[in-house]
Amino acid sequence: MDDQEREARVGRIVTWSLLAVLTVCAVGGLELWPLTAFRLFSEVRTADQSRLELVAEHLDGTDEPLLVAETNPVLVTTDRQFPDLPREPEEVQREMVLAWLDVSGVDPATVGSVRLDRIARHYDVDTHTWADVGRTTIVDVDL
Amino acid sequence: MRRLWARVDERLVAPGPGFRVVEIQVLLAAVVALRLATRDWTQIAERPAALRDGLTVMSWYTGTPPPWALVAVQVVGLACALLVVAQRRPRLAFAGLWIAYTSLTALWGSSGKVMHNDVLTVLVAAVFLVAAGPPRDAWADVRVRYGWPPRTALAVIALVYVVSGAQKLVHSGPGWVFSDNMTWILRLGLSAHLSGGADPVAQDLARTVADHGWMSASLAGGALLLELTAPLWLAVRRTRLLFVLSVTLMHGSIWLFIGLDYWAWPMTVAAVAVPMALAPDRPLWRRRRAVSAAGAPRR
Repeated sequence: MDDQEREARVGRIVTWSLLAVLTVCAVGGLELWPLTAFRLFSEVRTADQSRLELVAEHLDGTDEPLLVAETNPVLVTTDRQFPDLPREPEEVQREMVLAWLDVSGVDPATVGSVRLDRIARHYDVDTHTWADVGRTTIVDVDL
Repeated sequence: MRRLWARVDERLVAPGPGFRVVEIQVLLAAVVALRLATRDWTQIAERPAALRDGLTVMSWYTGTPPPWALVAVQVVGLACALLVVAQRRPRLAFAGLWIAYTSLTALWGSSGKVMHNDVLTVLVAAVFLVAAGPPRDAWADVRVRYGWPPRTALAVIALVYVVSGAQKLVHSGPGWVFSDNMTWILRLGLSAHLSGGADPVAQDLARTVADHGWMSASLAGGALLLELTAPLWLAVRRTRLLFVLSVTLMHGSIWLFIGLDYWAWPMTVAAVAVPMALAPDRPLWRRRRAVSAAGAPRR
């Protein structure tokens, strides 16, 4: 085997291996970053929209939504873990909720519990704004 | 089918000029350096360990890195980029740059959401970890080892775009284009700032497009068609520049309308496809000729 053939063999191995791995991740829906299934905006969006909100229930009876004023993009995207919260064991729930209170600048000593709400939203075509039209509590974590 | 496969394989491993590998490696290093330099990576340190989530190449590390360590990785990455551009130990420097960039972006994206903003750059650059550039005195040598890395990079780009398009069809069908899907993507993007997202630049234009069904459906149709036909654009040398322009328009409109920063994608496509749009014997830039001790140019 001469040099050119050897180089071609390396090229084939690298190329087809890389393309095969990418294809397997796509077909299998695997997410092992930077290997990903590339599901970018793949779900259809409709007028029926809801969002999840974490709310601190203070001991004085007031409510305070968490992460709202947060400008750090690394922290803001932790809201993608909200759906996992109800499935976690109580201990993990408390740990996560305390972490969210911390990054939101809320003193845990002033909070009795933190609840996760699902909020239904409606878009007003005239004012171009979303309005909250319904709220359901999914989980309540006592501190 | 076998004949088509043999042709693809033959084209993949056809010899290419050494300068093309160097050009693409340098351009990719510039893209990565820009991404490394323009983000405050210390923000990663503010995320408590309890809120780390997602499987990445950095999942083996479960702690929260201190800000100084993040800055150190950033500085090392940028120094490596300079070495690549200067072609000093380029292979080793490119590996250092890739490791720094991949580590930081993996940590950045470990908050629960799968981040795609830098993933194309990471994957395409990975090809050049195993590609060797030419020695200084063999810039224009034509060999198989210089031919396949740029073509593999094109193939990775093509596959990533096709998969992105195919996933839309698999999970949503033609409704991704023909329903009011894009209208709601735009309207949700316009309210992203309410949940900490960036404000889109062209809000009025985005509202206008969202309010006209035919406009938003055209936008969706154009994007999907571009993604699905990526291999065709990239397979032909003369249409590669058009593909660069088209994806710049697509990702530019995403940034303008919904504020998402996908600039690394068109920059990566340009880094590979622009040099590959040139005739095989034409370098993107002229190399300074090395001068021997006696003053005569060296070959």
